[in-house]
Amino acid sequence: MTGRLPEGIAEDDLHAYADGQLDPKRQAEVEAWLHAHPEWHDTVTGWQQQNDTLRAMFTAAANPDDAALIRTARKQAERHHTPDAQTGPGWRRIAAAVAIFVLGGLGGSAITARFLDNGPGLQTIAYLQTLPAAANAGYGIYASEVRHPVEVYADQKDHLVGWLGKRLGIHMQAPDLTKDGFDLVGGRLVPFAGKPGALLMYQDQTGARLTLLIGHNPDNENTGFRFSDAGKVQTFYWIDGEIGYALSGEITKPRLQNIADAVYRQIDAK
Amino acid sequence: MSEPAILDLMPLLRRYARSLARDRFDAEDLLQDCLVTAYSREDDWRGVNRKAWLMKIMTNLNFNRLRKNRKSRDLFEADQDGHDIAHPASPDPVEQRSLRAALELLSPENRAVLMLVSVEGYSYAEAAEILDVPVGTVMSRLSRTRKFLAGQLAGDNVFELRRPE
Repeated sequence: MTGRLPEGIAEDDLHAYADGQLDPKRQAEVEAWLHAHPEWHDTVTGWQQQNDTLRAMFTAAANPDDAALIRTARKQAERHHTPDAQTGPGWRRIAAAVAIFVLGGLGGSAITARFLDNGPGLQTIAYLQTLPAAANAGYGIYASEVRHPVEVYADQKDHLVGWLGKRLGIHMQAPDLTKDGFDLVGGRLVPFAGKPGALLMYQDQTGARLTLLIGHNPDNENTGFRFSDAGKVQTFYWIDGEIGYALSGEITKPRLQNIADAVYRQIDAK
Repeated sequence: MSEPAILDLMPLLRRYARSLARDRFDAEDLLQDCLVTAYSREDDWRGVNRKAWLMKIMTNLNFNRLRKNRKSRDLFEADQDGHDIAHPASPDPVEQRSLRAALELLSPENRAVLMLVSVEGYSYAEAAEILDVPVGTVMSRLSRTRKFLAGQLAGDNVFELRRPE
């Protein structure tokens, strides 16, 4: 709430004082007023402390890979205008290597390694950004279903992957997560980004569930791993070739990360 | 955009990205997306302040991606000031008083105002220009945000977590 305070000082002036945005004359007037009004003085001092803490938390930082990042961004933007996407075994190897860097949690310039060669263009970024929201919605709606969590159960796994693969136009696999304690419950067809998508569901001994959303878009390019935290539900998501993946669950982030890694490796092993 | 010119801006752009994002991984993604978007829209650049233009792109990218994720967050509820009240601060009293935890409760609009003024040092008029809102909106957001943070830091925050049915 802003408004007029007594004696011609407005709250806007107090903020401007805290932010050093007043001319010297006005600054002196406000300062005098604050000395006479200790409660407001304390409040404004609090704002200044917030500023000081924020400035200490967030500082300008150059990164040794910055020049390369810029070159890559320029190339990605240019490729948006050209029909030929550059994919191939070389990029797959790099994507796999940097995905492991990212999952290994190395900081600094290792994070930016994913962008040092051909990276995702604008269309892919847009597609990538729709994954976590859709995955979150899918998890939210279906993971709590007791009687109908899936449409086709794991006992018909061949039929399940055949059916979903046909709808998505890909060779579909249901990753085996038993080593991580999760069994396949089954799957269903869902709409995603205006096309058919697949939602696979897994469950562990405690009844905790995971969902794996899979989408296919021929214009996609490889991306690195990303993480989205929507409160209780967390999601790891990425695009591998033409296919987007989003793994969602309410388990701990490190455990979810391990499973995302397992999914990625199994699919990469094709 | 000449690459040396952008290179000089990178430390500042990275700072802004970190102030908006959840963590450093997230910040690098935001920064990279901002650069790609800027290069794609180079033809739209009307010759005004290059840095402010880039800050505007980054701010909007951040709003958009959070908006996309927000729709499906069952537990997301905002009070009238746009603060995320259904994601309570940690029960640890020390962290409750931490500004870092409090920042995560801010709406992206409020957080952007705060960072542009406090960290990036923009005047209220410049911040209004970057956010494409009236100066009055900048002031009211700043006021509400500072009071909210002061309340958080004083530890007098009581939130009820409402579970979806």
